[in-house]
Amino acid sequence: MKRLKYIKGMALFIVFICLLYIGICYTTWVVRDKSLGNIWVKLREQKKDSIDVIFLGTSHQFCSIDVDLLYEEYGINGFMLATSGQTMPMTYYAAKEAIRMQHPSVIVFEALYCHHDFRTLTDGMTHSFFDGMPYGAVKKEAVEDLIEDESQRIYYYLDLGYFHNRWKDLKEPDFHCTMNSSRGNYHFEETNPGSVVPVLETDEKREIPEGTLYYLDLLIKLCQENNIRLVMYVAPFGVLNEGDDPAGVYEMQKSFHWIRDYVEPMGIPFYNLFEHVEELHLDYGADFMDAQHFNFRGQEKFTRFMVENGYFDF
Amino acid sequence: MLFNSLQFLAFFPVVVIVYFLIPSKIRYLWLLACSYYFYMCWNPKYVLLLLASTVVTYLAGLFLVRWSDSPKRKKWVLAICLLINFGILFVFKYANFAIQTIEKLLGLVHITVPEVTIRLLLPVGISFYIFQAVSYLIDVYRGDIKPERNFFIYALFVSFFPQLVAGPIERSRNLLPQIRNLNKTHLWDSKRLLGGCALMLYGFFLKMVIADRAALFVDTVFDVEKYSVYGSFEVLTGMLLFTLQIYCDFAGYTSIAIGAAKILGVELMDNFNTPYFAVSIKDFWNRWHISLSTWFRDYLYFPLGGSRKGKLRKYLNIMIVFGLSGMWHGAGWHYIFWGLLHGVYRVTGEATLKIRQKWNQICKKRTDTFSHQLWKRTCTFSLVAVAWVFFRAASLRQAVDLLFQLVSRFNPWVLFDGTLLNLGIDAKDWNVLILSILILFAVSLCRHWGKQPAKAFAEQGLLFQAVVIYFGIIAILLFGVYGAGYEAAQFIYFQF
Repeated sequence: MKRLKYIKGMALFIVFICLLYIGICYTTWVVRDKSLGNIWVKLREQKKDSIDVIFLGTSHQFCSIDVDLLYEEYGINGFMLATSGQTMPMTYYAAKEAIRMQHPSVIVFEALYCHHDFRTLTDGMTHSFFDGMPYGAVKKEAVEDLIEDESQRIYYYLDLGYFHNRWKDLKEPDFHCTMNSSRGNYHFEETNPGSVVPVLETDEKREIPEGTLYYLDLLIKLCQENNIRLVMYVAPFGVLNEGDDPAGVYEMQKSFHWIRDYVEPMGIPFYNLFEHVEELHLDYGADFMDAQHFNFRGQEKFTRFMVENGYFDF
Repeated sequence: MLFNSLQFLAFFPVVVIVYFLIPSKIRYLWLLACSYYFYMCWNPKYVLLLLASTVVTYLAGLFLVRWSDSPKRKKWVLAICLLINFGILFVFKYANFAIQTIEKLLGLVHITVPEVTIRLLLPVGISFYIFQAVSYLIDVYRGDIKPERNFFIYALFVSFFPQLVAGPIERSRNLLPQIRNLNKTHLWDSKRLLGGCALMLYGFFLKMVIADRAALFVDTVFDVEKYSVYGSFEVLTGMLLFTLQIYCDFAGYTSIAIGAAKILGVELMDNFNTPYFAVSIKDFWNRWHISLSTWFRDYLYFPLGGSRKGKLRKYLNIMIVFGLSGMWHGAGWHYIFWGLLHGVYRVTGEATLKIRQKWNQICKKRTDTFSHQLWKRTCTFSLVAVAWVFFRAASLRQAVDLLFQLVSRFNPWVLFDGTLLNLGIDAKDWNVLILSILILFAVSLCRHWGKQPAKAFAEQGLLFQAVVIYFGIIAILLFGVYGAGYEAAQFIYFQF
């Protein structure tokens, strides 16, 4: 009798803990800032090993490629795993986790952030990368590698500690699903004038930082070991504000030239779309969400261009 | 390790689970190991002080019994042991304060001495565990208790982690027998476990939702760089919120400590009994930090003669006790002034008692009415709140400035023009704070009316208790002040 009571007590306690876990997970999901996407949640919803192509990189990746269109019109079964401010080390860890979860046959890497050696950018961007990432060895490795402040690491596992104060800003969309489609696709309707893309006419090169090259090598090795085809490209963009000196964009293009020369001998295609900007027939008044990023019209135009010109011949 | 840290949220369940699973005979050893680990999480080196105080008082206790027939030897043992313990306390807590005071005094007579600073961290909870160890020693000296012969049991008495760093300062009469009988405690008592959880949860609510939220406003108003710009109503609000903050901070800690100990099968003494409902300063000190007040009463006030040696001596004793109580709280003149101010309140209250009673008789004033009681409570609360300004301020000068601003810069419009919404907490934080204060008030009212909310809660149905705990946890996680962007705020009483 006493034993039965004990077992009943333990069972009730376990049920309570399970319900509490669900409650905390739901609360975390509600307060999490979804304005920067919530792609891991979407990726987890995919059937295991059902995705063929994973798209990695920065906001330029998810603003340029429409994965829903790729699937519906071209039959490319892709998933958008790019996040705002996804640095090269983050991309490496995203690829590692994506391979564990889905084992795609192709990884498309938008290589804009290869030109600098930041490991993380803002806290919000870092959270948008880590939040929802499945708990496991890859997440642990990534957190320990990328988050220097040890006292803050815990909040990348328990992000309620970071976002709980958002209770003040909760609105209806926070209680619904995220801004991404089931394939992680973003759809930006806002239209603002884009800034004209400055194209570097010479083939000057600038070596990328050593730290970034280290992670690029890791990514290449990871893909080789897992028999995954790696495709790299950069989407064109202009200066951030009208009147800004385009020298910064030229410097980046020099880095892209260097990367092209570095990866192509390894059999990795690198497409520098700055060189094809005229063929894209961009409408700077209609195709942009802000000065540098495409809206849904630019995204569709760019996606079609990539497929129809054979860059995405998967 | 802070109670309101993720580290503790991982530590405590592990302690409890292992505690429940290991053989009952070695439970106290497990708790001792956990207590030392708990303390070492703050600074491993400083555990040696805890150990030193423990060893010295343990051995002294044994010697006191061995030499029970020699009062002279006993006195020597007691004196040496007190000297060592209070010596440790003085060096680590008051040495720099003493040096600076001497330097300033010499400076007044134009004698310049080279600046000396002893580079020592103030060990967390040093005043608490030393006072606890000393109380054991004096109890043994007086023959009130027998000394503990098992060193590990005694070591656990001094270092029991729930109350190690901020009390309650337990008496050996209460805690030692419970530690000795840990192996006989029936652990699987759902009422006790749920009661303990509820107390811990209430403590987290007081600390994380009320105290740390109020602190955001208080820190803004008491900011040494900017405090001079504030008028009456900002200072008044800051003062009232600090009155609330310090209570919720300390009572929150105590509630977590009592709850945690309860889960482990140990009943700790209560440290607070609705102190802001007190009708006099004397009454306030019977309700606030009870374990310290009774410590000073039993081990200082009574030995000084208490009230047995005439009125003047009584008043002097009160001033000594409150002066030392202020000093116990911190090495700073503003703490000492705070203690002395309470002493003045007490002495004035005592000295004018008969006059006030006479006045009430002449005026035929009824003193048992609600309005009279409310008046007394309001007066007591106001006096306590004013004294807290000295406690919270960084210096005596700042406290005096703030009180001067309180009475000289009348600006009631800040209550309506949104100024108070821009001093560390916004409108939504205010809403949460006000709602939380109402909950605190309701619970305090229950206690004031003689009901025990914790006991009443434990008597409710299991489902009700589970639902309250469930939503309590979620609400604290959501509305608590913690996490990235905030430093996990230390409990105020840790520094004492």
